[in-house]
Amino acid sequence: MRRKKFIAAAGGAILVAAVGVQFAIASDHADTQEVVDRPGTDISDVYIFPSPENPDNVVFAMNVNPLIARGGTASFDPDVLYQFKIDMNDDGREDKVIQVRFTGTGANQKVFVSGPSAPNQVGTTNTLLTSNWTAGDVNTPFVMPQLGGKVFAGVREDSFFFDLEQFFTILPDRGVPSGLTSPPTNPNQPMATSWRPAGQAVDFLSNGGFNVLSIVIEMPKSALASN
Amino acid sequence: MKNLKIGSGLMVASLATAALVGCGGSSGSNTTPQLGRIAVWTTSSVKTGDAYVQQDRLSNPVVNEVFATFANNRHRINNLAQPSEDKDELANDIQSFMTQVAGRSQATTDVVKAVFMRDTMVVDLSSNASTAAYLGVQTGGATGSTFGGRALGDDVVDISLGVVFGTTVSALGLAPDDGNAIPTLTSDNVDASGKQFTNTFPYLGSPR
Repeated sequence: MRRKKFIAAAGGAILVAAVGVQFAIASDHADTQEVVDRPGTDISDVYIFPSPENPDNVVFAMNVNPLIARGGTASFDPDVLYQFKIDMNDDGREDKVIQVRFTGTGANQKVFVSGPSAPNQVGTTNTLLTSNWTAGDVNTPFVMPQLGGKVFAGVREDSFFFDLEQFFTILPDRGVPSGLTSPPTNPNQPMATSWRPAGQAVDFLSNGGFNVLSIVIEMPKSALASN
Repeated sequence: MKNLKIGSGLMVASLATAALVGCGGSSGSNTTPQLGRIAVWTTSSVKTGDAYVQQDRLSNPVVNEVFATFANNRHRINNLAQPSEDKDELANDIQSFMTQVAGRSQATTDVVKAVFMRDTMVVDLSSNASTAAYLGVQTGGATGSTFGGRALGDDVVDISLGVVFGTTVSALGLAPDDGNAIPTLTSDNVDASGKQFTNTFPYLGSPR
């Protein structure tokens, strides 16, 4: 989740704004220090919806590396494997995966996509699928001929909307702990009792104009049918 | 909950069944490929030798972020887990938050556990709905569509706040009203206005 900066309304607002910015920059979507320290691993949102272009298709999207400033850019991490994992039989373990990886940096990055296919290993340590990789360029849609699908990986407007700043006010534990000057003794103790009213509540992303790195894959629903 | 469209004709029993069944998968016994329920999550994994080791996991928005504390490594533990482990980890986070922070009844808490566990995004590919709706499968379509998943414009924060702090669970007939809703916490008063979603691939708005 994310948030932006404050509208000054009282004498203490300048201090509040400074704290808010620190949280927003330091904590991205309220993830842990380990993930924040390596933004290419930081997944901020997931979407799955029917294709607006073709009712036979479904769209999978994941956002990573949040809080790219307006006009800025970032690279997908070439040492990170990004995966959609799909459970087909309700056991909480993946039966098919879509794998996405990158080489290079910046505008010259190449995108490689494979799946949906059965994984080599189920669980939290994985290896690359061995076949049917399709390559393309970042920031340019390309097709996956074998799948009858298409792929986009690149910079997009961050699609999330949320009053992140007030969330951190209510539950300061959910900010990065190092950003707290006085962490609550009980991390679950709410420190405020309400959200800000309409007109004062702020979507820091809309107002701050932040971007993310998005991976969007459109494929026929039949690619995910059960046998 | 302002963002849940709760139709008066919905059957309480079927809603309860939908919520508690969760991801049922396709149960057809024939061999023809069937479009059914799937449950999806994403991971990022860092190269370690020839393998990649999970570093982050995300599916439903604001679940791990709200329920799990950073203290005691709870958020981190869930990032590194797989959904089959949620019953032993995330379940405890939901239990603590719902009963101690939100002050909800055990009956309401049990429904929330059923909806958010496992922490996977449930999609019914057999639905012919033209739009997604967050928690649509678990609520029998009460959030707007039986497809489930998540649309770009879904106000997932308000939907979640309604479940945790509002009367969504009792309004759906899934548990008795415990009288402990906190109306000042049921919406963050932010919506999708200003976003640049499009109806053409890749659908997410152009960068700022």
